[in-house]
Amino acid sequence: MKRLLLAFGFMVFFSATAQGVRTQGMAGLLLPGPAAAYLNPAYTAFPVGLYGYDSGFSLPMGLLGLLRPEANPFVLLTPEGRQAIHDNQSPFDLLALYDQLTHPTEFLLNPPLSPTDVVIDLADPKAIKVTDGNGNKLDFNFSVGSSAGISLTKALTPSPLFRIPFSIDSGLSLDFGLFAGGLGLGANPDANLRKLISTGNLEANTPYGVQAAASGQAGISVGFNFATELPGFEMQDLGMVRAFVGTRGEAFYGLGYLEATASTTVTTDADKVPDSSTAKTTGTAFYSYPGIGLGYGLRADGGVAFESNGSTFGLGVRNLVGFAHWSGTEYDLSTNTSKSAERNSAGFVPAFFLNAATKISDEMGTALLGADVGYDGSVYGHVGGEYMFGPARVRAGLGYEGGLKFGLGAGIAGPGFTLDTALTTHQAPVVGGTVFGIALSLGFVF
Amino acid sequence: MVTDFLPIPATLKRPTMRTLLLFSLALLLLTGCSARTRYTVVVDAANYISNKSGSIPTAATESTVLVPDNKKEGQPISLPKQDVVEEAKLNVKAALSNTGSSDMTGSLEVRLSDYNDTDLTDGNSDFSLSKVTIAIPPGNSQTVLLDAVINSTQNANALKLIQGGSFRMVFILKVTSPGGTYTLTQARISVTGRPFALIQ
Repeated sequence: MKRLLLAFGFMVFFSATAQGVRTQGMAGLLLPGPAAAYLNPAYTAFPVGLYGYDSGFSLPMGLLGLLRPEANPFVLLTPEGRQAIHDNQSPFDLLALYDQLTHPTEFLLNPPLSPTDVVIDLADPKAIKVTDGNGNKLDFNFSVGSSAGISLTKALTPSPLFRIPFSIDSGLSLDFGLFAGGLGLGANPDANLRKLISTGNLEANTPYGVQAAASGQAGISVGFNFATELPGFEMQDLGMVRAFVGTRGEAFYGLGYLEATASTTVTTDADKVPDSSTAKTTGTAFYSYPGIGLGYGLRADGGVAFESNGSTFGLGVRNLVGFAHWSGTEYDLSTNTSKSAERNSAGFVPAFFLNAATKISDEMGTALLGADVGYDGSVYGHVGGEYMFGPARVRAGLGYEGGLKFGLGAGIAGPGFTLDTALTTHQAPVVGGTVFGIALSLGFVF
Repeated sequence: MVTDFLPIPATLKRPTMRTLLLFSLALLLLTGCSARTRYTVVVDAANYISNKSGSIPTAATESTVLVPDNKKEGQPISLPKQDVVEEAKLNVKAALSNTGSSDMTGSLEVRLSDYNDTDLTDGNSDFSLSKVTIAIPPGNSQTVLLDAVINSTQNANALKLIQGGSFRMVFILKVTSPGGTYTLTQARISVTGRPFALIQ
């Protein structure tokens, strides 16, 4: 179990590192180009640098955040430290630690803190009020991470942390990658309980439940790509249009997999009263890593892209067909027993990615404007842009990934190096509100 | 002294406090946690007591009403061991009316004891948490307030009982009455603790 937790911690820590700081500065917008080849294989053959590119290594700014007393996990390593955090004056806060750990490339400026007082008022047997110490209603956002971290198709592995490409010839290339992510950690009330928390009133014969879920996976992947530029064609008003197509096959070998769910429900009777005899907790945890199980899979992706006079449109479809197999151990919360189990998926469960961008130049510099929209179990999208003047870059964007987010960024492209920074935002888990962070990357251009 | 036990239904109304505590525990899991985070759970025991209102018989001598259920063993309360409890508060309101032609006098008291005690009126392991005297002129009504604070400095023995998780509680109304009615309108109990201490 300790190894399982370590593996999950690894996935948590690295789940966010795949996104470049330039992209973060545009709220997650991914412009056309080789950096988006994972989502659209046609971009493997796309001109490098047409819309700039993410370069450089994202500095793990979150490590600085872990030195802050609120989120310092190192105090947990010693008995004295574990004792000290129980002092009422201790600044240590599990919520701040969790949020910093799950944003390792960002130094969180205002990490979320647990409330000082929580009053759960059950004085009215048919209502529940949750307030702070001053009687103000607490508006909790119970979501913690994504509740659906692993895609419906397990062949659709998370974006790789890094890929090492090898060009073969004639549009053929190989790549090796390491992925860790698909992170989902959720503790969410069901719709009935959300309504109860909102209105404070119980309904008759209604189940109220809390579902918790955790997921994550890691592995190594081998991709085989074929992408090429097709003969261009003329279009009225657009002029010459360049066309690119690409396909990609990816096989993976699993290093770790976790998929756990648990739920607790209580149902009210005809008098709107919770009936304790209906209370039940159920759930399972499936996990796998080399030694206790095996994970492998294969899938095929495809994509097209068109470019004309600095404007580009691309559509990528991942998992046109694929299968995945994980074998491991399944633990049953209800019976406290474990058994061997498998998770399999196969077939056509596509994930779509559509993006577009245009380039506008003036006397001062060049503006890049772009938008993307995708579907991978849920819909997400971003709009944003970058303005380049001399060595300086400024960026901004707005995105939707289950909630609104915005980004601001800036960078310098000097001789032989790039330095990029981004002001990031995300919704604070549990207590809600916006958390701001600073991300930084440094790259060397040879 | 003559003790009159009133005819009172023996069962408590649902929901049980335990059931509602399931909800509060679920909410606890959903909220963040730090050493400074204090959680307060508030329940009104009056909602769970079947004989919270009734009539006070005419008697020349003192009558005693035991709430709940007119039983000397009181109400057993069983909770998970609550080492994290720092403070509890009790706020009781009882509405009394004197329908007779002479003064109604007496007292309202809340007593606690350990879970195995079978008589919370004999002073053997049980003790008084709070007591207030009553004096109501004929034809008048009055709201009687009974408050208690339980922490490490006030009523520390009661705090120890609550932290132990299992105990008994009884409300005792003793009056010399020309006749009247009583209603326990509120028995608000709030328990405050820091569940972060559970994380070791």
